[in-house]
Amino acid sequence: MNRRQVLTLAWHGAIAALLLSLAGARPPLAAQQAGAPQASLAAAVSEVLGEEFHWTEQRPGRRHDRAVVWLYGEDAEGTDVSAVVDLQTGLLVGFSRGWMGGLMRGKEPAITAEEALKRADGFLARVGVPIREGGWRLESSRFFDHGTAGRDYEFDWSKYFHGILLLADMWVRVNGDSGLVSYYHLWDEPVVVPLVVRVPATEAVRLVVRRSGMTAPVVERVVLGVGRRYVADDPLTGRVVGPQMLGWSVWLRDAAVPVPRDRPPLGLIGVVDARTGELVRIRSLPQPPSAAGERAGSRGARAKTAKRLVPAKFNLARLRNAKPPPTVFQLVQQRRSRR
Amino acid sequence: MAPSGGAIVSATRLIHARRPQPGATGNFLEGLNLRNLLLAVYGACYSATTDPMYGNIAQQTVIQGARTAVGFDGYGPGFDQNDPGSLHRWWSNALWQALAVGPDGNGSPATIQDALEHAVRVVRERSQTLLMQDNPWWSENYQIFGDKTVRIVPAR
Repeated sequence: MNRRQVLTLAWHGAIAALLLSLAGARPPLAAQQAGAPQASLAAAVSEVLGEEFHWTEQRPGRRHDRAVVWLYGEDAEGTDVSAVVDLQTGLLVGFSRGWMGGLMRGKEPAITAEEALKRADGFLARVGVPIREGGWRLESSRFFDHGTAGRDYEFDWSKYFHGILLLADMWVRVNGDSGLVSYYHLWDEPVVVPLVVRVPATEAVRLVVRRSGMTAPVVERVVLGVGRRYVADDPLTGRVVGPQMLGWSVWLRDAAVPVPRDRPPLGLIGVVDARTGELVRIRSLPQPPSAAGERAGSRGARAKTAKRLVPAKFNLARLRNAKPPPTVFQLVQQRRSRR
Repeated sequence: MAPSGGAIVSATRLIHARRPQPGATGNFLEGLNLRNLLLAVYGACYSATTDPMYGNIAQQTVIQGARTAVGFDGYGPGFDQNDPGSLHRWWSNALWQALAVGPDGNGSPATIQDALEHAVRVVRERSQTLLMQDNPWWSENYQIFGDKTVRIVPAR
C-alpha cells in the first residue's frame, strides 16, 4: 500500500466517523416527520459517498428490526438516487441510483468485472462496512443486463460462522458503463438461536427424501443455516415474522424425470429443524438458482457464477460453545465506543 | 411465454409482438395504439426476449406508444407457482406496493426501476430467511423499455 492509498483510506475512515458521530449526536430521526432532509445528515451521506447529491426528501422507515431514514434526491447528472441510513449507527445500509445512459451505451460494457469489484470494495470502504470481520465471504459475481435500465456487475457477500449460513446478505452493483455504484444493500441480523445440532445431515436428507415422493432422488446440496420459523408475514415489508431457527436445507432432484430440453431440471427443497428434526417446509422449485445466473453470465461472459451454498464440514462440538460473530452494526458501535 | 420470446398466450389466444411478414394473420401488438398506457408489466419468463421472427413483447409495447414496459429476458416470475407463500407472489406484492406507497410503505412512491430493485430485495431476503435456498435470480432478469423513471402515483 503506497502513501496515497494510506491517505485515501484514512480520509474515508474520517468521513465514515463523521457520519457516525452525526447520527449519534442527534435525537432519533424516526421521531421526525417526513419532509425536507436534515442538512447535516444529507451532507454526511454525500460525504461518505464521495459525490455531490441534491437531497430533496427524507422519510423514516424500517429495515427488519432497525429504524432507518430514507433520503431521496438526484446526483449531479439529475439521475434519481436514494440512500438508506441506519439510525442507531449512522451506517449507510442502502443506496440506489438510476441510469440515464441506456440508449447511448456501447456494444460492450466500459469496465471489466475485476475493475467493477475494485470499485465495489472501494465503495464499502468509504461506507465503513467492516467486511473483513464477522465471517463475510464474497459468494458470487454476476453480470446483469437490464436493457435501457443499465447493465450491472453484481457482487454478493454472505456471512458464515463455522460453515453455517447466517441471516445476513450484502450486495453491491456497479454499472458496467458508468462504473458508478448503482445499488447497494446491507442486511445483518444477530444470531439469537442456540447453534445446537441434534439432527445430523443424513437424517435431514432422509426425512426430505421420504416426503419428496421421488423415485430416484439425487441430493444436490445440503446447507446448514440460521433462518426463521414461519409464523406470519409482515404484509408491508414482505418480511417473515417468526422466531429464529437453525435448519438444514436439502436440495433434491429426481434423476428419473427427464430434463426438459430448454429448461433446467426441476427439483424440490426441504427444510428440517436441526434441533427437533421437524420437516418445517418442503417446496418444488421452478428452477435451480444456477439457471438464471448461468444465463446472466453467458450474456456478459465476464463474471463467473460461483456455486452458492457450499457444503461445509461442521465441527458440532466446537460449534456448541462458540459465540456467533457480531453484526456489522455491533462492530460499528464497538469501534465508536473505542474512540 | 415461448422460450424464444415474442409471444404471449392470453386466456383465449396467442398474441405475438409483431408480424413475421407483411400480411401475416394472427393477433399482434403491432398496430395497436397504446399511447394511453403508462406502464405494462409482463410478469412472465421470456417476455423481454427477442424472437427473430415475432419480436419482443415488452419492447413492442413501448413501440406502440406505452411509456414504459417491463419484461424478463429469460426466467421471470412464474405464476403457475402461485401458492400464497410463493416468492413469485411476494415479488408481485413488493413491486406494486413500492409503486403505490413506496418501499417499506414509507409513503414515497417509487420509480419502476426502484420498485423492481425493491422486489428483488424482498424475494432474496424471504428466500434466505425461510432457509429456502432457491435464490430467486429470475427476479434480476428484468428489462425496462421506455422511461424507467416512471411513477404510477399520483394517478393522472
